[in-house]
Amino acid sequence: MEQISKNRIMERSSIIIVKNLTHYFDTRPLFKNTSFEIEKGSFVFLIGDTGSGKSTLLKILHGEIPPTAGILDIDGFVIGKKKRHDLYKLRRKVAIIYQDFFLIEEISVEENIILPLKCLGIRKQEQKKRLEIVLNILDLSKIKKERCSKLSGGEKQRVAIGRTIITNPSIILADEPTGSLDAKLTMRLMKIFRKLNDHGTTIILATHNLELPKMIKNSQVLKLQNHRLEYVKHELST
Amino acid sequence: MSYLLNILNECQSQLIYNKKQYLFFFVFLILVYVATGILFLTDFNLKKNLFSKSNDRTIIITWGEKNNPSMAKLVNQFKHKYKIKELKIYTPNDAKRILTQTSPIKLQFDDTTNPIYSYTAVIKLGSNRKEFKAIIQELKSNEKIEDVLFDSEKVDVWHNLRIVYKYISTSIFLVFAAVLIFITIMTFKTIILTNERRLKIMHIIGASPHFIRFPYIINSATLGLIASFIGLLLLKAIQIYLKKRLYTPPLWIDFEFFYKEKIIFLSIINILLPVIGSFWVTKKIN
Ligand SMILES: Nc1ncnc2c1ncn2[C@@H]1O[C@H](COP(=O)(O)OP(=O)(O)O)[C@@H](O)[C@H]1O
Ligand SMILES: [Mg+2]
Repeated sequence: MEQISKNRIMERSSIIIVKNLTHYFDTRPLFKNTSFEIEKGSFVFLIGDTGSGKSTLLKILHGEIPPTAGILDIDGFVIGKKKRHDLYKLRRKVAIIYQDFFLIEEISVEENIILPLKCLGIRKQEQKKRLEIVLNILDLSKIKKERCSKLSGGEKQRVAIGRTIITNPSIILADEPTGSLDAKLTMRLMKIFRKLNDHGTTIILATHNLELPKMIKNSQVLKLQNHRLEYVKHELST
Repeated sequence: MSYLLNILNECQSQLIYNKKQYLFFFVFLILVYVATGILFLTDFNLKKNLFSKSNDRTIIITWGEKNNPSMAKLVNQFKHKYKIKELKIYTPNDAKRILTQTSPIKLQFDDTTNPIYSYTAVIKLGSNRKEFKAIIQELKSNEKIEDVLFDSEKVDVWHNLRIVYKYISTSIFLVFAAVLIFITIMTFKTIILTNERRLKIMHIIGASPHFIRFPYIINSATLGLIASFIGLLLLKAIQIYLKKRLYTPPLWIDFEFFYKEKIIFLSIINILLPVIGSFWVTKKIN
């Protein structure tokens, strides 16, 4: 089964296929029978008004919220109405960065970053090697022993990113990652995302900042409007 | 292999994050173990002391003919069949003397109605109380035996007492099990509640359900094991203290806590129930 769906994705070069997605919170619709695909290795900005359902869409893609109806094929992992018990398999391919980071405050930067590797049962040596690389990319080496509760918002942001990229996921979902950052830090963060994208990681970044898509060449904009998702051109979005 | 190491590592962090709850749990495990050990084993001790030294299983049979070899043979057959603990044959005079001194059975030795017509065998049964009635029946139905004497009233009293003790033992054990399960469930529920955020993070980063659950279960088993061991040492100390005081007149109770089967049973329960409890509680994390 998995092999077949993988082949299908290869043909279309789509890593995410969403068909007839419908989602309601109680009687309030967020998505109404909308379909879209995301190409492998692309950089997609998910834009939409506050409250339109961007965070919810990312949570659906991450398996946290089962959709009311519709089928999602995410890198070969099929999500339907029912919550699956092997979601961890999806989450090893698809990493998410939440608006509020979700770090463990009581432990240090490096312990937080290394946590996913422990869950995967990766050897200590390998853990250290990968940690070094990630700390360097994100410029966190100096504060690696700090407790996360002591960090600033921008630093926590980078730790959260470190925790997602250390497992080398094929897709990264980021929810308003620049929300609490100033212009300089935003630039720096976008550079990091671009670097990851250059290495082949598919990135889906939810934001209501319409300036962001301009910073990434060849990026796509997926607009959430009237309960539907559609690709729009850059010029239109600005 | 490294997966296992990582799980053990996670167990350790679990213990550190939830120091308070785990410490509480640990102390409770020890207390429950010792308390149950004392009650359960005291009960067992009393039972053993009271019943084994009592004469409720003494039967006296009498027959007329002197030195009847077939009678001796018959008595010996009984000894084998019912695993009889002690069997002695007395001459009329000895029987009279011994029975008046030691038997719990009230026998009238008045000269005119002497029930000791002749030779007497005193049988002491071991622990096979169940066969008591059968033995009596068989003895009575044997024509050669003139009389079978036993104190039926006393037998009934002991029998009832023993049933009461059985109930006490069982209820102590059930209370022990219930308390253990309750404590385990409460402990792990609090731990899960206080760990909600941490658990959510573990899910987000793709930890498998096993990886999340095992540390709880392993920790409960480990704590149960260590608690049993410490509880055992405490029981030993208590036994040393009690032994001297109880094994003196007029009690003469031979106090022994360390019946291997009982201790092993108690320890296994002390490990198994927390494991079952934590297994059950953590089933809901998903
Ligand atoms: N778990 C939930 N239950 C009910 N309503 C929710 C839930 N999560 C979000 N919502 C509602 O759905 C709407 C979309 O929320 P969200 O996805 O966070 O939008 P956005 O991220 O685009 O601002 C909001 O009105 C929010 O109140
Ligand atoms: Mg949002």
